[in-house]
Amino acid sequence: MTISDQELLKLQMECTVFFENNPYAYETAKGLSKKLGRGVEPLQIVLNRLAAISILEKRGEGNMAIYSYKTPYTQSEVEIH
Amino acid sequence: MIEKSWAMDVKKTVEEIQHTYAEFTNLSILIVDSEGRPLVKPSAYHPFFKKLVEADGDTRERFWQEVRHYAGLTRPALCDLWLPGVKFIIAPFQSPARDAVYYVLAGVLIQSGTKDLLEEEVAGSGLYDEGRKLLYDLVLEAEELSDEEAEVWREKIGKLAETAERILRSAYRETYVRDRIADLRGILSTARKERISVGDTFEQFMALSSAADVMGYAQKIAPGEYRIAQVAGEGASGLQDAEFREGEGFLGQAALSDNPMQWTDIQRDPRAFFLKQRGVGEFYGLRCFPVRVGGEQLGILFIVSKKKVQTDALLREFEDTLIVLVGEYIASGTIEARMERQIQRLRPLMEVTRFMISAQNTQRIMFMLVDMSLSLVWNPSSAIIVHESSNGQKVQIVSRGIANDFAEQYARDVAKRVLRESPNSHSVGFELSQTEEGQLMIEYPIVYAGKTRGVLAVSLGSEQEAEECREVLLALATMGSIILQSVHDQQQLGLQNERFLRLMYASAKLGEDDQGKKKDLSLRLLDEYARYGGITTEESVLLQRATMLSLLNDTAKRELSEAFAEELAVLKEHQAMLDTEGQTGTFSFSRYTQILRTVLYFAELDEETASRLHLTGVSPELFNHFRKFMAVRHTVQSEVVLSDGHTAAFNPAEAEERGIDAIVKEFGLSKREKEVLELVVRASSNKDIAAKLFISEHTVKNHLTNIFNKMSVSDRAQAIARVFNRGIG
Amino acid sequence: MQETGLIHDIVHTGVPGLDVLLNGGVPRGTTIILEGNPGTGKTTLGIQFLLEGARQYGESGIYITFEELPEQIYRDMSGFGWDLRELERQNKLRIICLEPDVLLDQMTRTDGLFEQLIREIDCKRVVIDSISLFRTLGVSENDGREQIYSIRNIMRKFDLTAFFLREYGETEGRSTPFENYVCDGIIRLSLREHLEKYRKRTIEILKMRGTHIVEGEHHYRFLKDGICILPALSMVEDKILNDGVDRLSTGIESLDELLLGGLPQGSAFMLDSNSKANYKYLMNSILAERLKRGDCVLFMLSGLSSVETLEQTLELFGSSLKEAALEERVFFIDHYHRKVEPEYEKLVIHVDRLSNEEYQKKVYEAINPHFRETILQGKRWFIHYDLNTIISERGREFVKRNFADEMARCRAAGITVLCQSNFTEIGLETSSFLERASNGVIRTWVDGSYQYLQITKSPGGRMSAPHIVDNIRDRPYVRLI
Repeated sequence: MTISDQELLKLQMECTVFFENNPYAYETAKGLSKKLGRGVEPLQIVLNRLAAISILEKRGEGNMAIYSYKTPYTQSEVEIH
Repeated sequence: MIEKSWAMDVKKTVEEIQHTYAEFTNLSILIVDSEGRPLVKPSAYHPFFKKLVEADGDTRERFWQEVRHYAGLTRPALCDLWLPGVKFIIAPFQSPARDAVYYVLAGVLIQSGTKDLLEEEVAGSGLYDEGRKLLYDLVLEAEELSDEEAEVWREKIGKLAETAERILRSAYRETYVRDRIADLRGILSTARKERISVGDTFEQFMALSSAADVMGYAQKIAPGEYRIAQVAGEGASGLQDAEFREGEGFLGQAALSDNPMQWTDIQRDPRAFFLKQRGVGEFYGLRCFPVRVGGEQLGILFIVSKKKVQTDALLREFEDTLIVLVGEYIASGTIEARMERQIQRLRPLMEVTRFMISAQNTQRIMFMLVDMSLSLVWNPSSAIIVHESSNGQKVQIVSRGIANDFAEQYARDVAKRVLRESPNSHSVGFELSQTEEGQLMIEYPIVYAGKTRGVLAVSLGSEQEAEECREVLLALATMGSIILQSVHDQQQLGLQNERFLRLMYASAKLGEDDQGKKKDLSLRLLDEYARYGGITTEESVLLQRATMLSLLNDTAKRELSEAFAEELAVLKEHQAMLDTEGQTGTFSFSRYTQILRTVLYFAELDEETASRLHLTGVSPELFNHFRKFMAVRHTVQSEVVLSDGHTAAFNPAEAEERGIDAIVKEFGLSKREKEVLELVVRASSNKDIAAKLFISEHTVKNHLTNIFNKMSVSDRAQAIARVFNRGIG
Repeated sequence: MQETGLIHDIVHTGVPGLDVLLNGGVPRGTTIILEGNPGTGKTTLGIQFLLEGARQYGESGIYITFEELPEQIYRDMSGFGWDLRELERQNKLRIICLEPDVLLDQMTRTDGLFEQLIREIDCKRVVIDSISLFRTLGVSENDGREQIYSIRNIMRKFDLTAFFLREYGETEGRSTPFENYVCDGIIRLSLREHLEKYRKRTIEILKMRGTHIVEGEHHYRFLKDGICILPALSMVEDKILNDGVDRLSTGIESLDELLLGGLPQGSAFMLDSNSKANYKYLMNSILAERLKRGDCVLFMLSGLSSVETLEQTLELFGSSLKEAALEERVFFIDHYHRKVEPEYEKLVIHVDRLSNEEYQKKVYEAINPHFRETILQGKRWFIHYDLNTIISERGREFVKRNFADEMARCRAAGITVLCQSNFTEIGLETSSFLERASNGVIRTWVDGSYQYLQITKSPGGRMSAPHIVDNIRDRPYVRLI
């Protein structure tokens, strides 16, 4: 069964919030599936999407891939001139 | 199809006309299909065909074989059947769907002066009994006709065929259109009910049209740019996802017009090239219909006809209606999908709000705003938040997907444009701006505490995208503003509490002269120790508050218990630590408590150096580090006092830096040796140095030996002393 | 600044009580198996090891779990008031939840996740929860041993001190699991029904390379701020002695270790021996050591030992009684009025034919002036108290009435006392009274062909395992095994 875009987006938000709350978590799709109680396949789609928009960092490939939160670039001292 | 075309009322009409003609011409008339099956009742006026129909199979077959010789006729003809001289008129006509040929048969006609000859001929022919009798009767009853007369009858029967054809066709069209409309209604209602996408209904729509060989929908993807999103029909798959610009080819021209367009006979027209080349091949005509909602052009629906099709008004009207309906259907589907997508994104957004509210920290909220906006835009590439920093001269940024220097440059631009120019505008709308690199950014002001304090900006591919995501991003930005407002309120409260604490501390000091001095010293030490790098600024600030609280009485502490829960917890643990002083055993106290204990202990001392070598519960590393800091501080301070005559702001870290620079110059230390020396001065062990510089401990020792040799000192204590002396000098 | 490598190389677990059992901690870079049934607190102890490392010693740690969800750990541990998220923010801790095969994959990659993390937070401690899962991972015959072996080696390579958690039940009844050989220590947590009413939680260190341990099962409890281990026989009232107190060496290295450096100054220890046991070496080594260190010593002479014989035996241990006598820092109580060489004459307090009251008065008056004077000079006092002699000369009642009081006074004055007695001869009632009045008991006895020694009581509550007393050729002629 295919998953609707809306469900994927919800899952994407859920994952984003999960990693924002656990900025030091390192997760595989399988591991995260256990944690969030979601299917592995949609998670894989969403995690790769998040990696593509550089919210997550991906190490390794396939089932062995580990995802972790990538802290956004922050700079608190930009001079206006 | 025959059954359908020859519906009962149609049959009756044709029969009636047939009878009229039979009566008028005095001929026997029969209308049959190409297999010889009668389609209506034979006319009763002349009994021949009636008799034939009722005759045995052999006779009928024999007659039909004769008729079949004339298959392929396109016009009414006078034909000899059975015997030369026995003539019948055979008038063919087309079925309405042009999938069959029908025949009007009329007879018999006998040329003037041949009747007697024929009678003889019939009598002597080798026909079977029934057939011969039939023919004989026919010939016998027939009148002789001149050639002119026969020609007139031929035309008349031709007219009968034409009339029958017209009646059939007209009836057929009515049914056809009625059926198509019913089909169309069915398709639309199923599509609505079952939420079938436009693409999946295209084949069905196309089947309804008698003119369409290819049907497609080109969607507007950017101003002036279109992409074929849906297409159905033979050879049309090559058109899928093909793109064209306004004005380019027929489709491009249709895009420029607000009205439906139609072109025919365009095989040679170069504008047809776009479609031809992508698998449609040669075609005859093209109809285009703009799909619009309000003032907005969504795309173009088009229908390609490969051949010219003969149509009448009714069918044309149907085709026109069909294209309008499909167009509307696409438009409503597009709008619905667009709303759906907005809602899709709004719904999770609501859930995100919960988490954002719980994150009482400006930085984390900004992280969430950036991450969420990337997830909410269709084709995400980058997002950035520019936020004013506390002193107003600088801005803070959080960004993803943007090169760092570009992010900073953009932040400056936004700061000047939005934060400086119109800080008091409370508008909640969005702005589109183009960066110097030509990147389109959609910008939302972050407004709280009475002014615009930041901007959330997301890069977009096109204005089209802006249309689609502006609402949901607006919701996100608004939400962010509200949450930041609440964090801001909290912080204000914190500042007030801190002011209150300082006030209470100041008044408590009045009564406690000696204690007050010691606490003041502790505050100074905490401040300096942070600058020295022993603790972080946050740690220092928290412990300073704890130190101030320690001077207050219990009532005052209780009053502040909510505002300074963490500090009071440290104080409580500190008291527990004092109670264990001198006891044996292993204790576990937090780093905060250990630092506080150490600082307060040193502040209590009258002398500059501690007599004790450790404090119960304080890790030896921490204690020693602080002891070293105190020793250095003392040295530097007394030196400063000597030279300046007053206490200058103490900054051992700076002194260190100056000292190391001087030493590096004076003794010619290498870059690596300088790094090692810096770490030595910061009280790192060989192991720590090795770890920090990613070298082995052995190498560290080698470096140290070299450094000591160059500096002519014998151990690290002397080296440190020298660095500080240089730093002060 | 800590320059000496030795102390640096000990990792203090920071878990209250555990370091006492481990004689300070575990050597850096060791891998320790922490086993126990579910619910025994392996996770809590593991986390506590990392947390205390971060809080007390500034050492960062990584907790790797294959089973529990980090959220669960955060929540469970917040019950102890531990804010693990905050530690993560400070880069002091990482809690990683990964499948075993993924972890191994990353560990064996150059610059994989594991290496990056170690560098990122400067990790010193690791807990893996649990290695039991590697069994299911490996090919069935090899028990996952290759995996465990390579992880152990990776720990060593990065000089990480690691706890490997293991379910206890699973190794029961099987041949010794492979990892017992490759790991440096085993700590077992148990939970048993006790008297049908209480559940007794015990911790036992089964093996530990590179450090001396306190053997036996020790209780531990879950307190509101984590696990606390109560070394066996630990009693609150015994904690009168400070950790910062000076320790007086016994002159026997192995005995000093059992005593955490020696006899605490100001404590009263009992040396209990049966008649067969040769306690003299122990006693003389202790006394000789005191003389060598320049302490003042008060000897109680028994019927068998005169000043002369004492001088000879101490000579054997390399200290000169005569020299000490010339410095006026040795004194003798003699019940038997024996003649001594002139150097000793004024140092002997003759107490024969005195009533108990007269005896006390005489000793006090003889010693007190010297005591005051020497204390000002910063000298320490040590009393050799022969309970066997006192009981036979002064009577059981005298001892019962005065012993506790005398010991308390000595303690207050910072005088260290070593009493020599034979509990079996004295009888159960008196000996249990004496044991209670002392801060510590060193017991030595002969059983079969061995002489044993055990510290059955100490100020810190430590109780040692029985050791065998082995004779050696050189001073101090004995050692404990």
